Amino acid sequence: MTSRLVSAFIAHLLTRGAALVAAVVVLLVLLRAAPGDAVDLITTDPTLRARLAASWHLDAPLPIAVGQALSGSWGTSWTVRPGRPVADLLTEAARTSIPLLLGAFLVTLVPGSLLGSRRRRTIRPWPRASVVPVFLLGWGLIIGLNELTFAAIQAGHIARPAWFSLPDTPSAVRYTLAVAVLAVGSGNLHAFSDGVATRLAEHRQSAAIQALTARGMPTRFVLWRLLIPDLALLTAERAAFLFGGLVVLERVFAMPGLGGLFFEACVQRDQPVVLASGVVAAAGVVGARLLADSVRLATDPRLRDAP
Amino acid sequence: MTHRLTLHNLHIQAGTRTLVQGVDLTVASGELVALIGASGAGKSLTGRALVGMVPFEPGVVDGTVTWTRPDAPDITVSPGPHRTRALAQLRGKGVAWIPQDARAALVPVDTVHRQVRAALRHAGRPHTPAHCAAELSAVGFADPTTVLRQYPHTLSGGMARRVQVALALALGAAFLMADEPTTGLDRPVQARLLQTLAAIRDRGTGILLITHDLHLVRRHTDRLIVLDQGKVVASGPPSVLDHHPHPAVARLRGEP
Amino acid sequence: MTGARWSVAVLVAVLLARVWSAIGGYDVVADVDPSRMGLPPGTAHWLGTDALGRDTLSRLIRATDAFVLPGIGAASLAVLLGGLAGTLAGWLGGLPERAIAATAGLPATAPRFVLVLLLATIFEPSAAVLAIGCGLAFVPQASAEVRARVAALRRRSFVQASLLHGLSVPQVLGRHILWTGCRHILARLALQAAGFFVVVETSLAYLGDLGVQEPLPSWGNMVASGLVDSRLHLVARLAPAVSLWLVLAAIAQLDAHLARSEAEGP
Repeated sequence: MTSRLVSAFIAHLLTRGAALVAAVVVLLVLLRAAPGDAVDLITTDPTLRARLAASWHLDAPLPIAVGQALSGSWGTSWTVRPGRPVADLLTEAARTSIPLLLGAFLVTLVPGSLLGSRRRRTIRPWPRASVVPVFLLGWGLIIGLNELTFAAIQAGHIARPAWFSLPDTPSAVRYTLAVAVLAVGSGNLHAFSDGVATRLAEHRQSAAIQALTARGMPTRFVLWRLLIPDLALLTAERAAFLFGGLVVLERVFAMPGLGGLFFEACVQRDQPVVLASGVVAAAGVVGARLLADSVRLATDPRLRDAP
Repeated sequence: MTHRLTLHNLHIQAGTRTLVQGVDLTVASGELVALIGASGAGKSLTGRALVGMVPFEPGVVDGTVTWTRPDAPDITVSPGPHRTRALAQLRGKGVAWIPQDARAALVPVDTVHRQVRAALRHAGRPHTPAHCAAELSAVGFADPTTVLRQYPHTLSGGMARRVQVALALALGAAFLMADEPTTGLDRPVQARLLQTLAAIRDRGTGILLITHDLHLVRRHTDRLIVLDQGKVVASGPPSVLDHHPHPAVARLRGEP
Repeated sequence: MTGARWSVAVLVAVLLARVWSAIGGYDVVADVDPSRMGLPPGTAHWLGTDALGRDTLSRLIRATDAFVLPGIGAASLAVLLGGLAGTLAGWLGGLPERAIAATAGLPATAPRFVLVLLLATIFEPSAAVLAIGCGLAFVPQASAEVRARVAALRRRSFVQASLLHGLSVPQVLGRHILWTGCRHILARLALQAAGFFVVVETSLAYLGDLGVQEPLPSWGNMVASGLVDSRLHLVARLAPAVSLWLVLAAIAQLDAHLARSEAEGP
């Protein structure tokens, strides 16, 4: 039985891995096919151009470039932090982004599942409220907080606090707000609670749960265990939305993470950083899917035997 | 230790349509009673009503289920304020329902072992692996340890049904209610399953067998109740059907 | 259903605003008048004026230029490309199905916003490129949904019967499969792709650099300029945010309505 599990996992690994490689290939092809020469943005001096082109491996054959992209040899940044190795920049930025992503994931998983498991869906305006994009939520939060604090200061209730405007807010508060904005603005909180509610209703109607009820046996733990593969699937589907929201979030909250780095690199056309960020983003999505596949394989025995 | 399960004047309605009307039946310990009728006669619904699983409104509008126990007060389930509590006491301990689609009714993510153990634990009985294996042996599995390790989706139809019987017995219920247990099984498998049920009956559990296959059950049943369009049209020992004039009974016998 | 009617009204209003913007002759540069800055809502300026004295309502209407036509473009791309891929894959089956599904699923390996930004960086951050990016981002989902429905309906007896009766494959596909089975999901995906484009366009405009630049208005850059500028009246600061939320909410409401009506069946 364990060997069936392992072979099923390897099959998923290969499929997902192939998708990642294909995505990187397409990205590189597009980069090379783009109009104009990337180096022209930096300089037009012929000797300097030749030296830069050589040092940045711009003319390496495609397979080698794909291998480099996937293995993390991304060269050095051109304009965002000139001369610094891209891998270092990404690692530094990850220290800010990973807690944000994990926090947002936990906020969607736990409160989202609890909200979805309530029997009576009394939050009816929910779909309309949940469509606020990340930047608008962040904007609303900043304005709201600032206006309220300003009004309180004007009324004499409080003295002007040290952290008056949001970008200067101390870390813990800012992180919490950022996590909340990301979880809601990316649509994940709504998607999770909706998904959990739907799947839970289906499971409650299933023959197995009906049989347990008819025998007077408890169903709550069985229901949650039936839900785990569904939660894994939901997580994988929504991971991409989370990463996308991160880009806007980090700019709005002025946080030095992967999203902000990527955006900066896009604005300044810093090709190595853009490429590396693209690869990391795709790897993140594929990795989340693979992780979800693993959880589902481990918890739903029916998946191990299917073709 | 004789238990008695009595259903009196069951009335089931779906909206304004009456599906079951005035049905009475009794099962005692050590009896195998068959509830027979054509498809749509209302027999599955009657079985569901016994454990309070009628899925539509208004459902059971009248009718009392009484479980008479030798050394404890009676449990009575009737429409009214105390219905939920009485049902909770009846389900699993008084009547264990064995559903029609046996494999689908098993928890797909748990092994047979885990499910048997859960049933034993719910009944407050010892639930070591040896005890779980013993439960499976009691329903006729020759190799219980292999079956314990299986997941429901790898079981055959007949095996799944036996596991369901084992789960019902593990709960220690006084009565088993099997809903169409022989559908989808080959003839020899059907016969063996019925022998197992008869053996369980001999050990003292009361069994209500819901089926449309008259000939199959003739050998082992003590009494039959024939349902047609939601009403009882005949009841008694198997011989009562042989020359019964009612057209529904004739159809069951195989006559046009 | 009042929910759907309200949403349709909002979207029609947006389309009308786009038409008005094309024919109304509002001049973004000429409207600057510092003597009128920060006015509250009144008869001349229904939603007040901004920090440069420009009429908020006119700018709101002009901002629809940034997302209406490109949004429709993104929606069309998603539906046409995804629908085509899904139909071919679902109808042909076997190896072509797997190959098409794998190719159509490629854009899904990147987060949608990252994909759009990548394309904007590689080529240029113009409305056309953004629209193509948003459309491509929805091709995997469109293709998968259409493929599932086409494959399921292909085996149904009424389809087989129609083919035997002499109807050609395109006729069967068009009438029985795509119209009957897929029109809800395609409409929903078109709405979602358009909605996504609106979010992308306004987000980029808010963040600056890659989005719509001054003096051209976008609801995104109008929201941004209202951030800390307390010289503006509250209505002028909130108007672009509320408009944006209304449009997105209308799209979400229509999407939910279509999902419900597909589930309930004919």
